[in-house]
Amino acid sequence: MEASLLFIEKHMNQAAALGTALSWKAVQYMTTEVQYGGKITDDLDRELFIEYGRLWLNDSIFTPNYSFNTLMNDFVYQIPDQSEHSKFVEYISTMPEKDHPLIFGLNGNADLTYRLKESGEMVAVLIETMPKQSSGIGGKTREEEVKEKLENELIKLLPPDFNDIEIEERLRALKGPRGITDVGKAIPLNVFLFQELQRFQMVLTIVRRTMSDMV
Amino acid sequence: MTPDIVDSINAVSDFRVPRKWQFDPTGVEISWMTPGMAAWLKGLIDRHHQLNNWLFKERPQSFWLTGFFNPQGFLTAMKQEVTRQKRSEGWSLDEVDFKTEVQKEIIGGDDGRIEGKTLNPPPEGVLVHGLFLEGSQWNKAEKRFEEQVGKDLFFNFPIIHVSAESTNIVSN
Repeated sequence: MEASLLFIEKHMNQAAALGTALSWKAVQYMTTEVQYGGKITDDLDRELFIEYGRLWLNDSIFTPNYSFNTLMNDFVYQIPDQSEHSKFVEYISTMPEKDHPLIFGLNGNADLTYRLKESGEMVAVLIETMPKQSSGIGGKTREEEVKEKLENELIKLLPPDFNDIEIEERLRALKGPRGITDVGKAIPLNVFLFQELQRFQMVLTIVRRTMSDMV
Repeated sequence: MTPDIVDSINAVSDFRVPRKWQFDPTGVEISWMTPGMAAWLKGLIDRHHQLNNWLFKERPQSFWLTGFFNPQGFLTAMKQEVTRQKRSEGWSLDEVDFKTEVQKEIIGGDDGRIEGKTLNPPPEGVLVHGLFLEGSQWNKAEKRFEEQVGKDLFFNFPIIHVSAESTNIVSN
């Protein structure tokens, strides 16, 4: 932002001194492609930002009563037609604290997504910074607490294992769709079920083993 | 006590998913990605529920597509079945394509369970559910996407009937 403002100021002074017209193209390019654009890593975000530049960095913003937002009228974002510093400050203080996503042409849920992500990240950091060696109530160690949790709750939650012999037996009798008289592994979706069961059992075995390793 | 076990204990203590449950030693994903351990274990139970019912009761009336390890493989197997059902009409596997139709019913929640729902499985193809829309919602009446209006970020997508159709003009 600093760099962009500095560039615009310099460019304006130069244009005024030389008596040439302001090059909005240069301003747009420097702001959206170079100064901010260099920091935006998502391609779609960049595209959107360049579009904002085209929309809001051009001559039309100097026309009287120009409004930056076209979609919402809770608050009209304008450049005040004043020359006093205090009037600008006054106007800025009336701006809403939270900008509605609609003024950027976004759905209201964009703000929700953003805030959810932000608070999610904050919670993750908080958990990360929690003391690891909690000698909490009763003086239990971390290992003891985990062991208790596993024995009392988690291990009991695990579903029973699928047993190979049982799978084979059941599959042999499993029918296919209407119109196909074959049964068992001659049916494509039954073969698929077999593969899913194997992969599921693999994960379940790992979970059961790590849980018993921990207690 | 190995570093692996210490890592798992720290994870359980912080309600995170132990690394070994989600990745094999070479770093390949072996299960589903959830932010916390409770959601992961719920996923384990829900997946078991679907597979167990399919194996011990019957082929599900609608499949929880997102509860599979290999949904692509599921759809391919389905395509094979339809092609076989249509063998007498001259269909062959290299000349079929997917055909989908969005249904009216929505199976709510994120556990994929269909108990208590009356569904009418089609004679060909399968019903699938468990898909969500983000950034959009579905207009049931007009069968098209539309701008989100509610405050919910995710929209429960209706059941989809997925089947196959022949791309061979002669057999059509």
